[in-house]
Amino acid sequence: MNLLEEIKKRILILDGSMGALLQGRGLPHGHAPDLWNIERPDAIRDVHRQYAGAGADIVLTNTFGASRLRLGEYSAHDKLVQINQAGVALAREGAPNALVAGDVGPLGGIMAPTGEISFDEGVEIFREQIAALIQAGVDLLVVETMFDLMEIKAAVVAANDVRGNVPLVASMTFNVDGVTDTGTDPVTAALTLEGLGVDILAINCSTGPEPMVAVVERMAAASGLPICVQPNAGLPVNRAGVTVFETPMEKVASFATHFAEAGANIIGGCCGTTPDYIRMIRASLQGRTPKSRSMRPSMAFTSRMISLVAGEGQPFIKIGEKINPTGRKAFAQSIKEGRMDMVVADARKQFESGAMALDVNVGVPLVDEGAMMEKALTAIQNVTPLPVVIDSSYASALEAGLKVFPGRALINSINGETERLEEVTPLIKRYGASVIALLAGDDIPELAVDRLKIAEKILRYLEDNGIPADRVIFDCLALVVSAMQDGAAQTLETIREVKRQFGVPAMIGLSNVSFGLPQRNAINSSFMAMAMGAGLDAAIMNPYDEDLNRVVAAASMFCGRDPQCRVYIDMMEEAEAKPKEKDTGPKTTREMIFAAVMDGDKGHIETLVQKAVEEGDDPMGIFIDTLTPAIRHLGDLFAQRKKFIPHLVAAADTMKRGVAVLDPLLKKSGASYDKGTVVFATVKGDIHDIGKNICVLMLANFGYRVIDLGKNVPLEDILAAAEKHGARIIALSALMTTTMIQMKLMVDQVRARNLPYKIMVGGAVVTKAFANEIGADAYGKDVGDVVDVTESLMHTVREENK
Amino acid sequence: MPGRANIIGNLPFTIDETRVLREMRVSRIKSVDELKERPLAEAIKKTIAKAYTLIHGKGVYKTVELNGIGDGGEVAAEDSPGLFIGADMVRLLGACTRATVLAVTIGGDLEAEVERLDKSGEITEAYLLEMVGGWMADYMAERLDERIEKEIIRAGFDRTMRYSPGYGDWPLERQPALIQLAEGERIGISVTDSHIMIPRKSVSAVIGWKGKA
Repeated sequence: MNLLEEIKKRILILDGSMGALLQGRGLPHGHAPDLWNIERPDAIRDVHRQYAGAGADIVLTNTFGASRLRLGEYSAHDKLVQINQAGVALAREGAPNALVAGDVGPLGGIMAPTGEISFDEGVEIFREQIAALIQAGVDLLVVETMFDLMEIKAAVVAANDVRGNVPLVASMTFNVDGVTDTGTDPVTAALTLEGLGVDILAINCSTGPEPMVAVVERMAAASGLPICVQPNAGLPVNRAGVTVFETPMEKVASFATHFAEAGANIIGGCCGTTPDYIRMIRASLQGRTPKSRSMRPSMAFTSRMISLVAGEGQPFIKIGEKINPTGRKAFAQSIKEGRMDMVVADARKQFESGAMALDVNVGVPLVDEGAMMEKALTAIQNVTPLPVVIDSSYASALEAGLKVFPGRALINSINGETERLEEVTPLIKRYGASVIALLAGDDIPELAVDRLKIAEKILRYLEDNGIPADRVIFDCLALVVSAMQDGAAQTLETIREVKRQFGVPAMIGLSNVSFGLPQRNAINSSFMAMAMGAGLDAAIMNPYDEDLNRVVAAASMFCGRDPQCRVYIDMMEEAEAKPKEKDTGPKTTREMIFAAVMDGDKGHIETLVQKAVEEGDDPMGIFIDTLTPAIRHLGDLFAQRKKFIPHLVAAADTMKRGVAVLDPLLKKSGASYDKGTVVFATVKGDIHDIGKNICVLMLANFGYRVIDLGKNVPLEDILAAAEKHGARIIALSALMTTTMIQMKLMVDQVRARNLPYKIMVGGAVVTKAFANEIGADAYGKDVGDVVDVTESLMHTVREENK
Repeated sequence: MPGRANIIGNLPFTIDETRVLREMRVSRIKSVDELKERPLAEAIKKTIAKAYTLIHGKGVYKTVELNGIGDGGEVAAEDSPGLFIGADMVRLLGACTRATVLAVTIGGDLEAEVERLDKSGEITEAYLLEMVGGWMADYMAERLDERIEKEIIRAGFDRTMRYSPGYGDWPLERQPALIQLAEGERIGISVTDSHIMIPRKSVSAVIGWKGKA
């Protein structure tokens, strides 16, 4: 039977669970089922026989865990080939008329960039098992129960290395939300797997049949490939140490027709299903033919969780250009030093500015570009979900990037040069990527007609090497308008013609057009509108340019890329929603100082205070009548829960800068605002003191002399400092229940030695009740009341000393 | 024999403005743009952008078999006696047959930057970054928790809540033993004599696996 021909004619039946039946035959809990291929071949053969008897057209070998790491857990990795070969032979013997599918499960570890198994290691582990299955003569391969797009990519690459013409089924597991546990949706999975050249898409395990229908529908809408589906008999349930599946066979079988309607070509069962389930599924599909699905694939690229499709009627694709060292010295330096902070910052900023994909170029002379590409793509995936365009003139750097990026990446780029085509085409094929094809050769042809000849050459070359045209987007080359004013017309003509003649989408690298001219934004926006009018589908561009973003949004409506103008309206509503600076009319300098403290405007406070002084204002007056009331007012608003701790901190920080301007003047004039000395410390054992530092700042602003001893300070040091500086108050901060005890020890010491200090306590875990219990003199709840509490305590000190 | 430790070298993340504001105890608004004080709003936005470059989320987790409640009010875990002690642990794990211990960290870069800002007198920026970092350690714990929860569900079990040393009567003194069992050192976590994890922006915890009734 030729599988790929047969599934066009009828719906094939796959077998059900192996595990459930082996447990029934005495497989001990915790024993590897794969080992039974050599330990209990009779039992395995019998299971296959039963499934064949139930009407399975395809049986899966008992080799789900027969790979190096998983067998290693049972110290059986040296029997890998033997177990896989036995698995194939037993399936053949038990089901002589069925197709035998070599079954491959997850590799038993977490793949990079999430985990520690590198792509190459993953491929090698899969290849070892798959080679053994192929050698044993399987009719097809099934890689299944994959949660991680990176892992299934490694499995498919490994399979492609050794499978020759043996068909490959690639199966992912989706949860009840319709995505894999690592966040991949069915469309992204389908596009990525189709790019990698699998023959049949599949869904298995995890949920019962019901949520899987929508997954099949979404896959069927995204790809024309045949689809295989294997539901569990419901979600697993562990009762008294035994895992059971409780969805009855009637219910599972009733979904078989839904799967068929959704577009499935092969239907079987996964965990918890038995030959009876399979028999019933077969019966319910009797006489049904598979739904005919013909679809012209679109040019697409994806990340782990986002798919972008380029073409007419699709949203215009904005690719951010900023991760590129050209003309950016600091960026180039960061790459040279192996730092990813600027890459991450640009990735986030472009994402937040509306970029839909990121071009990533880390080509700095004398760096290991492959290593940097790997590092950059890993870092980018940590902070954005966006698809990437892997941009390098070195094939080795492209490949390094492709190995850490789970989706269908877009390669930038190939061109008409045979050498470049020969170098990059194998990467497109191996890693299932899409590609930007520059319509240039040794040089850039001036005329559209010559660029089209290059387009034709590239498409022919790719086709000869097994890569269809739907993997390509043409870069139609936007030229510098100041150097070549006729160039624009040729670019626009090229855009129109590549789409008309080849049906291939078009893009440009936009910013180049305005090189060397002033007000580049206007030029970029104008050309963008013209190019979109000619049919442009995507551009590598500056996503920070708000004018350009507005033009893309507006032009998208005219080009049929924004149905009901939704995107445009949403974008404008969002822009309108941002609060605007309100003009409250002219203010005096004092009013501006007050407002600066209230707003936490530490960037302007020094200039304002300086200005007030230069205007002849009294420094003490500025301090007493403006700065202090401002922060007191904020304190009142804080107490009313109208302002919050960040406001207090920013205001205190701002005031500090204002006070710093006044301080020398106040000292010079002999004026004093010293309200007394406080020794402040975070107790021994606590290594965290930012809360304490803010309290110190607040007190200093209010005229207290604060001796800040820092964090993790022993009691003796605090007492010594209090004595040395003549402190009246010792303020202690603690953040952990284990270090709070230090506060009690301090109170006890001070009382026992009859020392003249008041003890004030506070910090994350400290409560008023605790403060009372240890006999502290005061408790500061937070930075909002530290000034009031200190003032009141200082008042008590003064009263007592009268 | 205890299970193998699973290491997650890269935990992807998003810094959610609403959560950051909540961490700073700012109520009534959901986004930084709603703050009337523009300089403060800008400072928070800059801090979040910077935090993206300073946070490197990593996690490690391991699932162990539990052997019931022992005489001393302890839930016995293979290879780690004396770890799950106290009434709360008995309540949490008493009916569980397995437990997953976990540790996450955002790494040491963020707190080094807080320290640097603090020392150079940039107290607002230090405070804001500290707040973002504090929340993000919990965020990483939630991400790893989700991953573990999926494993628990896939195996047909129910989960307990996530519980950390220092909660209830589970003493903070158990921190070193928990980190050791979870193999926290493999993602760079150590524990000080006063049971503080280094990097400070780290979280350790246990989640129990309960069979269904």
